[in-house]
Amino acid sequence: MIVDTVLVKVASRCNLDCGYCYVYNMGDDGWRRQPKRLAVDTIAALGRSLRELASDQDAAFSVVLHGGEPLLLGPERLTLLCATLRSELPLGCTLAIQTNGVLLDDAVIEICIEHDVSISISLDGPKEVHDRARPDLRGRGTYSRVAAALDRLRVTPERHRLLTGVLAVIDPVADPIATYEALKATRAPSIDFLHRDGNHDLLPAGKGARDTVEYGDWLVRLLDHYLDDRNPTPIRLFDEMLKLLLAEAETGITSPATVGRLLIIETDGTVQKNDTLKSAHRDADRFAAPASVFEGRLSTFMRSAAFSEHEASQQPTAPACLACPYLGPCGGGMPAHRWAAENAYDNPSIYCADQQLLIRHMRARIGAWRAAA
Amino acid sequence: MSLQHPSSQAAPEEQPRLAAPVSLDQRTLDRLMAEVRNGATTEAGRYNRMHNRHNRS
Repeated sequence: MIVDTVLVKVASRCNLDCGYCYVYNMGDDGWRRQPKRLAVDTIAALGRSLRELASDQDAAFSVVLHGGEPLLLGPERLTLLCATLRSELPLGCTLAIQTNGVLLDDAVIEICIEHDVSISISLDGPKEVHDRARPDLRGRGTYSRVAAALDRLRVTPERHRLLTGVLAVIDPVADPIATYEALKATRAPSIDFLHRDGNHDLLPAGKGARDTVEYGDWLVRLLDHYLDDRNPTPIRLFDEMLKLLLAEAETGITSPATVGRLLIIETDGTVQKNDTLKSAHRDADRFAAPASVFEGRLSTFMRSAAFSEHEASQQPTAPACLACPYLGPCGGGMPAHRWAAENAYDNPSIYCADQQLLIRHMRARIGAWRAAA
Repeated sequence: MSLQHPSSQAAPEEQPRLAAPVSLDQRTLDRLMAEVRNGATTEAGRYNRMHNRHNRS
């Protein structure tokens, strides 16, 4: 089992108050029990522990600095963290940061240049869409501050090279094409879209019922625009699924490819499950006896029954999923979106109907493309 | 036992009607097919299951 991504929660608090946030606004309050930011001794233990992991698995991985808002770590401790990781990790490991951009000033950018830390910024679309969804703690829109951060990243090629992408949460009320064009205008090399979190007991905003397709319709409209765009910016959500469908069309099978794993480390240095499970119910992302960077080896914990059980729980289990012709590219959706208090994760995703609509449309577009070739 | 979810039943493979003629200049599909032929695909379904809230493509 190879870890390809380590997500480190370097700060447990945030300077924004996004209504859809799975960390703060969906019932879990585990963040209150976490240190506000990585302590100096945790940084040292983290570096040591990740060095051991890279050695044990003999493979590099990406380390993503995440939160909360990771830049609440502050420039001094961010420098210490990056220097520690660069000193401990093999050359093949990459460092990245996922930030809301509000605190991304020149000093932070210089730290990222010095330690080769790539930057992805959360931006939901045009000003009115972004400000509606992503206010600060005083209720003020943050678009202008994020746009200024993006400007700072475009000042020189050296800075622009750090920008790996923008990440948007879908607003199904917004126009998908205007949203894409606004994100494309940032000149980020990649765009990603997230579905809003929810579950069978609490549907996300904009989704009327489990069998309605507001998000599917939104994505289909965007897909058509994207595929017809003569100067597109790659959309990861689409590309990952399209590649599986193209492989299927080419070879008759969806690709087995490389199996990699995600490891999440909390601000106190403990290992947690996929953090988005927080949106399902309180403490859903916590192991009963979590490993810690302060003791033992991460690779040992990853061979434990608890970790294996967590890994298995990520796989779809609902009979409808196991019999579904779309399971390959769909994957059954995020576990958090399968949750119901009645029967836990043994359900299709709340976005099942949306996914089916999107995959059917992708197949139709691929079929037309192959016929024209 | 999973919750009843009619839309998630194995559906017949229907082809939706395309709203407009498809452009022949499909550079995105060309690019992605080249990546597929170079072996650049991920584990089936992993992206949708393990979406981990960052963009480092």
